[in-house]
Amino acid sequence: MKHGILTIIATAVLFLLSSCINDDTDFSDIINDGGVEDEIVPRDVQLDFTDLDEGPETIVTDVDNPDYNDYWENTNWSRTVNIRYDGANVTVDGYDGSDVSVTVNGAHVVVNSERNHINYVVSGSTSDGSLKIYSLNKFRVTLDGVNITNPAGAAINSQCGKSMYLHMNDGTSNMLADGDAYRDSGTEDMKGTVFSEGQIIVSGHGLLTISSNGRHALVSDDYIRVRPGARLLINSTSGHAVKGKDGVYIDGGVINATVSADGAKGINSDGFVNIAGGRTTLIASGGTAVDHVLSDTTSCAGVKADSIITVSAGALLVKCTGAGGKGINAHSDLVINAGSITIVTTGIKGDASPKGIKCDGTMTVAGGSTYCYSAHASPVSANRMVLAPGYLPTFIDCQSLFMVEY
Amino acid sequence: MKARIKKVFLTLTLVLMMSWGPSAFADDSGLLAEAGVEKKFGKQATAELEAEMRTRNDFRTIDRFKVGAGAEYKLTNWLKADAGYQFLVDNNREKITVDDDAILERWRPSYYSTRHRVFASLTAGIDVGRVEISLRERWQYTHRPEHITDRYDFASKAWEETAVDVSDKHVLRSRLGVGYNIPHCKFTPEVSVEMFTTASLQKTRFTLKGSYKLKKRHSLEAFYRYQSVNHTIDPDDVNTHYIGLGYKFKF
Repeated sequence: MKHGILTIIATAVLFLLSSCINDDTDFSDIINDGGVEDEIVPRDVQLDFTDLDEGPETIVTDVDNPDYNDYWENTNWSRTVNIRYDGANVTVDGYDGSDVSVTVNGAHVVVNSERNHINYVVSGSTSDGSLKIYSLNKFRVTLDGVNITNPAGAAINSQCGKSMYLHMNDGTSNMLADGDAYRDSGTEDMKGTVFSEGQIIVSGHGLLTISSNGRHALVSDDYIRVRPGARLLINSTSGHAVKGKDGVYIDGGVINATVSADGAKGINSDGFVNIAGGRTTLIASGGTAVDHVLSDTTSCAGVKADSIITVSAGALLVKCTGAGGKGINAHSDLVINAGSITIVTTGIKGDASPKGIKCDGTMTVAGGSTYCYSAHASPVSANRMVLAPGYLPTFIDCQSLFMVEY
Repeated sequence: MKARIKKVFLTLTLVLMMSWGPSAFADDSGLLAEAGVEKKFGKQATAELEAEMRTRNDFRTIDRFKVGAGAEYKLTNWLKADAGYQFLVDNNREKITVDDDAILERWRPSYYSTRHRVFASLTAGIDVGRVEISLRERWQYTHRPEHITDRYDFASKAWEETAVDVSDKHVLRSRLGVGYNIPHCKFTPEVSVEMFTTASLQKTRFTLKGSYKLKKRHSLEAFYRYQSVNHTIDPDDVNTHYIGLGYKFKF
C-alpha cells in the first residue's frame, strides 16, 4: 500500500515537472527578438521564355466529349487557302469562287465563305493589312511566319460565331498588331487585335506575339482555349491581354503577357477561368480605372473572372505594380486543386485595394502551392476560405504573405 | 475485500494518470493537485489552509496556483457554514485578434496576474442509509486588479503596452454530491455536479472522486473532473478534463 501511494505521488510530481511548456502560438518567424517584423522580400516574377516540357498532348477523340470540337485534328480540312502578305500587297489562292469569295484592298483581305473545313494559311509581312473572315462554319487559321499590323483595327477579325482554330506552325514566329485608333466598324464588333465572335482555340508549337495599342489583344465573344505547346507573347497598352467572354481555358503552353492600361487584366472573363497546365506569367502595371459617371472603379488584375476560377495544374505567376492592382480578382469562387500560384502585388492603395487574391465567394485550397504577397494590402481576402485537410509542409499567414504548400 | 478495493483505487488512479495522452480528447486536459491542512476547534469549528496547482494544455503548461484559508462552523447536525479567502496566481492564456480578412491584428502573449477571492457557503447533508447526499450553495466574489502587459501589433510591427481592466465577478456555485460509505472501508467514492452561475449558467463540473483515509490524520483523494464551459459567455475558455490528486492533513 505504502509503495502504491509513493508511486502515485512520484507520478504526480513527474506530471507537475513536465508542466513547463509555454502554450503560446509561435510567431517567431514573424516577430524577432527585437519585436520588429522581418521585412519579407517577395519572390521575383518576370516574364519567362524558357522552354516548357509538357510531354505529348492527349488529343480528345471521343465524339461525346464536350471538348472534342476544340481539336482541329478531329476535322478533315478539305481545302487550303493561302494568303501571302507582301508589304502593301497580298496574294490569295486556293479558293473556289463558287462558295468562297475574297475581297482584297491593298493588304486587307476579306473572306466570305459558305464552305466548311477551310484552312487559311497565312504568311508574309505587312504594316498595313488585315484578315477578316465571314464564315458559316468553323475554320482554321494557320500562322506560317506572318507579321500583320493593322493601324486601324484588328489584324485578324472573325465575324463567324463558330470556332476559329488559330494554329502556329512549328518553328515559326508570328506577329499580329493593331493601331491605337480603330476605324468605325459599324454594327460589327472589333474588340481587339485578334478578335472572334466565336471560340478561339490556340494551338501549335510556334510563337505568336500579339500587340494591342487600341483595344484588347486576344478577344473572343465566346471562349478561348490555349492548348499545350502554344507560345504566346502578348503586350497590351490599351486593354486586356486575353479576354474570353464565356471562359478562358489554359490547358497548357507558355503565355507571357503584359498589360499597362488602367483597369486592364492579363486574363479576363465574364465566365470561367480554368488553368490546367502550362506556364502563364502575367504582369500588370496599370492603375485603377475610374468611371466618374457611374461612380465605379475597376482595378488592374492578373486574372479576373465573374464566375469560378479553377487552378488544377500548371503554373500561374502574376505581378501587379500599379495602384490597386490585384493578383486574382474572383467575383465568384476560387478553387486551387493543384499547380503552382505565385502572386506579387506591390502597388499602393488608391481607389482600390491592391490585394493579392480577392475572392467574393469561397476560396478553396486543396493542393498545390500558393504564394501570395501584397506590399500594401491583405495578401488574401476571401469571403470564406476552406483549406483542405492534409499535411501542410508550409503554412504562413501574416501581414504581407500568405503561403500554403501541400 | 479491503485489499481488493485498495488495489482498485490505486490501479484506477495510476491508469488514469499514465494513460492520458495529449491526443486523448479533443478538449483540453490538465492536472489538479491539492494539499491542505485542517485543524478542529471543538466539535463544531474547523480552520483550514489549502494550496492548489492546476495545469492545462494536456498537462504541459501551468494554469494557476492558489493558496487559501477558511473556516467552517457546524450549525446543526445537517447544516454547516463556511467562509474563506483565496489568493490566485493565473497564467492567462494568449489572445489573438484578426480582422475581417482573417489577417492577424494583435497578439497578447500569455501572462501571469493575481486575483483575490472570498467566499461563503452553506452546505446541507443527509444520510440515507449508507448514501450521503450533500448540497452546497456557495457565493464567491473574485476581484482582479488592473494589469499592464505587452501586446504585439502586426500592422505597426511593434510591441505596445495594454491594460487588462479591473474585473469583479460574483458567482453562485451550486454543488450536489452523492457519496457512499462503504462499511469498514477507508475508501469512499463520491460523484458530484456543480454549476457556476452568474447572470446565466457559466460552467458545469462533473466529478467522480475517491477518497482514501491513510491513517487517522492523513487522507488522499483522487478524482476525475470534466468541466463544461458555456462558450457564449467566454469564447476563449475551453472544456477541460481534469485528473485530480489531493492530500489532507488533519490535526
